[in-house]
Amino acid sequence: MKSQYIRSFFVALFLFPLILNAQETSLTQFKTSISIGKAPVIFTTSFDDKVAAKIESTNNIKDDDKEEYARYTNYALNSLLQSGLVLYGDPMTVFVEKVAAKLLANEPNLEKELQFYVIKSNITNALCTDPGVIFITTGLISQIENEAQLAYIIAHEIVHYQEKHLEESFNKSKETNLEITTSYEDLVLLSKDHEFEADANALKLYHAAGYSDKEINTVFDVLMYSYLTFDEVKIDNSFFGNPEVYIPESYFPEKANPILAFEEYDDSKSTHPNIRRRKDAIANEIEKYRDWKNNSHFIETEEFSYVQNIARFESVRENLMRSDYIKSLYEIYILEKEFPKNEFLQTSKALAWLFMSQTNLSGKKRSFIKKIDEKEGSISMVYSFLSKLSSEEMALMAVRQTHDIHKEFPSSKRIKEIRDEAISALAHVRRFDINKLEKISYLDAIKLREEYLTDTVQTDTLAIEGESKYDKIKRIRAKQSSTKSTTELIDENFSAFLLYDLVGNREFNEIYEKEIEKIKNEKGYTSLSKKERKQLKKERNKKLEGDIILITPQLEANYKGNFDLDKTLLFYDIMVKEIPKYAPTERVYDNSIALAEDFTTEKYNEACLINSYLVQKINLNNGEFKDQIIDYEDMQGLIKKFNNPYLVLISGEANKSSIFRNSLSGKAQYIEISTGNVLKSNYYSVNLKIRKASVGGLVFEVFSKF
Amino acid sequence: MKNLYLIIFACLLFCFSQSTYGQSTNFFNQKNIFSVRASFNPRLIPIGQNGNYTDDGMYANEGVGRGTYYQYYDQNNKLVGGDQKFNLMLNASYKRIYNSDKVIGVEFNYQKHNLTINETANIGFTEDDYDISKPFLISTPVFNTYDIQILLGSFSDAVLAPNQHLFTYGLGVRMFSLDQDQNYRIDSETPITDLDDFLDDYEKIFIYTRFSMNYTYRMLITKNLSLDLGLNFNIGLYQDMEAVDNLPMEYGYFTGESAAYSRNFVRNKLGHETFFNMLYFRTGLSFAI
Repeated sequence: MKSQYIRSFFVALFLFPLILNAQETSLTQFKTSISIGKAPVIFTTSFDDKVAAKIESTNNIKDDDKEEYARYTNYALNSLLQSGLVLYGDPMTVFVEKVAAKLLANEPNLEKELQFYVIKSNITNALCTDPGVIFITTGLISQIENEAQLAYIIAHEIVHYQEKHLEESFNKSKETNLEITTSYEDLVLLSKDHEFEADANALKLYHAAGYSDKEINTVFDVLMYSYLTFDEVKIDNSFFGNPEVYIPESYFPEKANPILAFEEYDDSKSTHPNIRRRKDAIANEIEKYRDWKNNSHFIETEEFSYVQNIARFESVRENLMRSDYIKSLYEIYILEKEFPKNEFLQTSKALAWLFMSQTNLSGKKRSFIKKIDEKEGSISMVYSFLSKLSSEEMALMAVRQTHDIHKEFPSSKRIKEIRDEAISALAHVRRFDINKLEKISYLDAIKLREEYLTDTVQTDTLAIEGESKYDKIKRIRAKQSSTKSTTELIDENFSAFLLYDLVGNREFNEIYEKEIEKIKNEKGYTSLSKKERKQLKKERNKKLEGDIILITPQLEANYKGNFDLDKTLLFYDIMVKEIPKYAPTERVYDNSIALAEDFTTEKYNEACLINSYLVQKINLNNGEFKDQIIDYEDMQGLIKKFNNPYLVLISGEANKSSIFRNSLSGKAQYIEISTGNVLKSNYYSVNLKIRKASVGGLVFEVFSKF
Repeated sequence: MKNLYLIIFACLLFCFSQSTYGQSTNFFNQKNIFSVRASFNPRLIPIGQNGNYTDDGMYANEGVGRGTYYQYYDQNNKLVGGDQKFNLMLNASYKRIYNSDKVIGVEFNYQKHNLTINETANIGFTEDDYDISKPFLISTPVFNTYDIQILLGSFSDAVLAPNQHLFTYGLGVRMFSLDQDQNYRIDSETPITDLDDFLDDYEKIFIYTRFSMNYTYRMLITKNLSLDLGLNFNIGLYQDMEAVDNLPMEYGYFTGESAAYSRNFVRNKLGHETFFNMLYFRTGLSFAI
């Protein structure tokens, strides 16, 4: 197995430069990172083999507990590997591997034992799992400033592995009879002593590699401020792109919320000591080493910034996916200064505005604007501004923004579709009157008013004799309407001027009218006759036609409320065997991430794509609006491979509270990818233990929809 | 007696009201249940009332019968008596599930019922004015008993039907028909009794209205087959159960004339006896599809 690993490693090494050349460093055509090259052994080894290997290699744990330890650590590792977020062979992982190689230059044995992967997650984190697998999140890469900082963090994780901290924690939890859990946050529940030890011992590798001691303190700053966006930029009018757009000052708070992070927070409930304590401890350790070099990097800084930008682009995407639109917009605002006219960024921006408008119209504004007071830094300005916008203003802003982006990329069908959706959304705004929209921009209106005022001053001086007060008002109003603007020029009315260039546009009006018509037709459904309603119900209960994309079910077994790994594995096992019995096999495509010999990178990337789609779908609160898929092109490619595919998400839970009391329940969701419609299966619940009949019943129920 | 109908009505209402939160689906979409079961009726009530000859040769009539008691003259003309430990009833039923967890169905039961006939005739008085009685007409007519019932009920709504707890109520008829293939000797002198002399209109069946309440716990063996354990509570809706009127004429014993049992007497006695066999324990297999 080792030789296989080495071989794959070399294959990967050979591939990396090719990939780097293939991917343009300008990120103009950015698409979310995918894994590249041959799948690492860890993905192709089955769970049982991994457990067996782990039992063999574990030394510090009592023989009786070895198997338990091996099973739990590998289950946790597998959950991570199957999350669809892990990358291999991509530029970020390659970079991490390069840095690690630099650190481990003098430790060839250790280098062979360790593996490095990047996880797509905006959480700033790095973690070490037991078989020597170290994960670095994209969030971390997006936050750090240089290679040396990354090197220190990697060194820190390596020490966790070297010193077998995980085994120690396991032994400790065994001694104190703590429940073992498999969530990866808990798995890295290393005591604070472990953290200090890792901080200190990391210096050895770090120093030997020749990195500068000055970067170490900054690492702790990075960690401390990691909850903020990767950069802090002042918000000004350029945030809204179009100079013709007038946003009243009164919509913004006077100043941004202050950044509050402080080093000496209460760490009594945290797994990690607070930053102040860590900084103090490390300062002493740094002094123990002499001859510090001054290198902040060994690899070309271009490569680091390329990798970092990928991570930042990924951050934009992830925030969009997780419905954190404002963070996403703020990041785009930061990035577009460096990457103006970047199609990915602009599409993401259009999506963010569209999603915000749709979510707002669905009455879910709170899902993306909440806890404004707790936001720190410039981003709080955006939060505050958007929270002040009414549904109508937000919908109009969305049209404004998407239309501007559309003008920038007139050839992009995708962006045009987003803009059209934003226009359609306008039709859903209550008490919205399209005729109220002005044909001139706010700034033009002000200019006109000024011109008019100078006019009226002149006319006023030529007061007409015998004219009554009301005649005068009538005369002034007549004059006013000739300025093409009837809306009073006050801040609250700014939105009426937002679509000055679109109001007269035929296409704009057509899209709007079409949607109005559609809404009217849909409302008609409520007055259906009994027969028609019955027909409709029948149609709803109709069997689904189309292909079935299966992803890894979410199954869990508990014994007296605690997670039961053996039974969970049994649950999965029976489920896998029962599916072919009740599923229409010719239409079923298994896209779950199965860590087995037939694992291929192509299949894996496809599964990851579907996973991402699912994450977006779960977080999306856009009510009845049509879904806009973030990884649009890739998903379109995938959908084409199938015949109107449904994504089937099975979840199940088994509980055993005593010998006589068992229950097993579950349900499934069917997502029609082409439309985004979600259907739910009936809720399945039986008082049976995990066995063929009970799990089979669930599978039967799930597939009875097809 | 009118109250009983009220109770039944209330029970039926209860049965429908039970599952307002029914599941919207079935286990493997099974909608038909076929069951074969055996029910045991331990002689819980009659057990303390077993008829016995007292020390002075008197016969204690109370408790005789109740469906499981038997007595007959054997080949040596000796009166043999005893009781079976339980009644055995065989059931077959079909149920159809509707509205996900409610059932409607039909049930057939079969069992044998021993009607103990044991009359005593006063043949004189002692000095202390005690009756000197002599048993006569001792026999055990055996009745084949058939029930046909309509079942209504529901599964407990916590789990998918058909699974686990099933509550049903049955309403139907119980029919007793005399097993005519047996030889009923009414006394030691009569080797073969003409059935005409034994029971009036013996070919006619006795029909009663019956109401039953059942609880069944289903244990799944395979996805279609399950083992049923349950309780069955049978109530006969027969009103007049005091078997005192229409006794066979005592003089028949003295004159040697036929003293056939009147239908009314048998009817009352059957009703009376079955009343003491209300509780059955059931076990069997159900096949759901």
